[in-house]
Amino acid sequence: MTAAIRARGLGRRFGGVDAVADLDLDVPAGSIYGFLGPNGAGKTTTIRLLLGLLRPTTGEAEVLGHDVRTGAPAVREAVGVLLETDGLYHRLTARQNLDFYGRVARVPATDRARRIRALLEHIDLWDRRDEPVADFSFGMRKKLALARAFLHRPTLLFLDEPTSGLDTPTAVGLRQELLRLARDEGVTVFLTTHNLLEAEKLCDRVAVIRKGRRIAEGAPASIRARSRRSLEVTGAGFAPELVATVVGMPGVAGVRRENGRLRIELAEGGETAPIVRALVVGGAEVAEARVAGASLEETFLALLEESDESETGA
Amino acid sequence: MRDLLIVAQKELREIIGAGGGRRGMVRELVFVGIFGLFFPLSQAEAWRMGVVPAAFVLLIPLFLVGPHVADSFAGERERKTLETLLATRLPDAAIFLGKVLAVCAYAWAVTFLILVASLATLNVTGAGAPPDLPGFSAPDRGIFLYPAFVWAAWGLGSAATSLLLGAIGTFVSLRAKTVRAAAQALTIPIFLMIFGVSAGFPVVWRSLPEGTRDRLAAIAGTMSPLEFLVGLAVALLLLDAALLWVGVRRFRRDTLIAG
Repeated sequence: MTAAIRARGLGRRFGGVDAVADLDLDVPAGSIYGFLGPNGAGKTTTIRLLLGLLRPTTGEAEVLGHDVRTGAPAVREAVGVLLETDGLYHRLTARQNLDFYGRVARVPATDRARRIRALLEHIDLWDRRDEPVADFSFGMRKKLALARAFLHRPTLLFLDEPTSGLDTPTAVGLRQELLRLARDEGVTVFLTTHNLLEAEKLCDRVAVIRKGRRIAEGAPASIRARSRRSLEVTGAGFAPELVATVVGMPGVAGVRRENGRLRIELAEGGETAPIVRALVVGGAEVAEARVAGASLEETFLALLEESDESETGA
Repeated sequence: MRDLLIVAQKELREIIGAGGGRRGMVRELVFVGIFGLFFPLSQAEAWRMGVVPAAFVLLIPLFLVGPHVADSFAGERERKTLETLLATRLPDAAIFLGKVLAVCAYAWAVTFLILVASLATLNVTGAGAPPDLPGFSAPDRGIFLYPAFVWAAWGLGSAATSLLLGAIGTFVSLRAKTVRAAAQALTIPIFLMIFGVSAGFPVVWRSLPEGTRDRLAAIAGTMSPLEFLVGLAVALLLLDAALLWVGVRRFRRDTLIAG
């Protein structure tokens, strides 16, 4: 599969600080690629570098086959963008906003009018098309900004936190729309998000970035698989001595109490049956015991923790 | 050129929509009222001679351009629309010049309205018309029109002064963090253009060698008001072109985003 985005050793320095450093990216065409990281990790700077809005200090990147240093206008012409803020002109109406960006994107007049109508109807704003955007709610503006990003039928979408601030039905609708665009129309979506559940549901691949550096990359399932499995035991009678016994058992990496449950982290190859047996023999009343893989959120936090530890160690 | 017009049209829509549609035009109506009604009535004879309206149409654009040009980039930055605009395929020159063109076209149009309003005022009221001079007519003696040099002052001169402040203002707005900061920074060039010329000209004139002064006075003496205004406007337009060229050359997406 060809890469819609390819970066090698991409970096940008501001003063003495690396906002992005040594970043490698391969985003397959037609995929939904999640870019995860805490605030200030370098997600927005990466998007700016890929759009040619900032010049890289090091490395190289290609977007849809265009070099971001020499072919930035071609990149910007081919992609659709929703940045951190909606970027809408609040003094202009919904229709005027879309018309302006449609003209900028060189969408022919008749097609533009049809497309604007279709998009505004799709997001339930057709009846309010001639009202200034200043009168719209946050959610309405976000939907309008997304419509603007789709307006010229780009083959690659950069979406910075597309669902933040949206109500649940709208966010679910948007996710379905993104999945449809990727599956049916082959549109590549590069999105940043704080919503790890969203990334897990939506993305074919994700990269985790921390202090400008990529610390993990792969399919959400493969990233989750890096975390330890755990045994969640619900019941009563988990006396401190019994917990201490479990901690000392082979195959147990750690034990935590969570809301009256025991969460026993398993080391690689750890067996669950001897642990449950030890709990029952030790006098605990075990109502339920189940093995759980780590969620992407837990894996994400663990990755950030590991990254911090390796930095402190260095 | 097409891109430049797309940007300019958007800017004009924003200028006209500023302050919420019709309410946004109150400022323009006040200008038309002051310069198109009040002054022509209060100094009617001087307005009929043409020198006063010619001077006004050179200066009025400075007041009209200032607030909107301060808003051009600093306002987009403040309202967080700049980055989305920069993330389009639009060339740097189209964005920069489109914004300048829009504020100048707006100032030029409002100045024209003022000039027409002042003519209407003088014709309808007959104010300042000498009773026995044909041409300086009251309503019953045909329509009074300004001499050609007033129209040249509007057509070329007000365009030149609009562009001058437009170029300087856009440059200032590019670097300002907020509209307020841009507007404050712009008060200096506006002040210099309005008062610096009137106060500075005599100082510069006196500092010239006597021979040079005599030669310049002799040249000026041979020029008609129309020739003088066209010459002045052409000189200003050349300066404008140079400033716009520098502005486009120094417009950098990277600096705007990183800064």
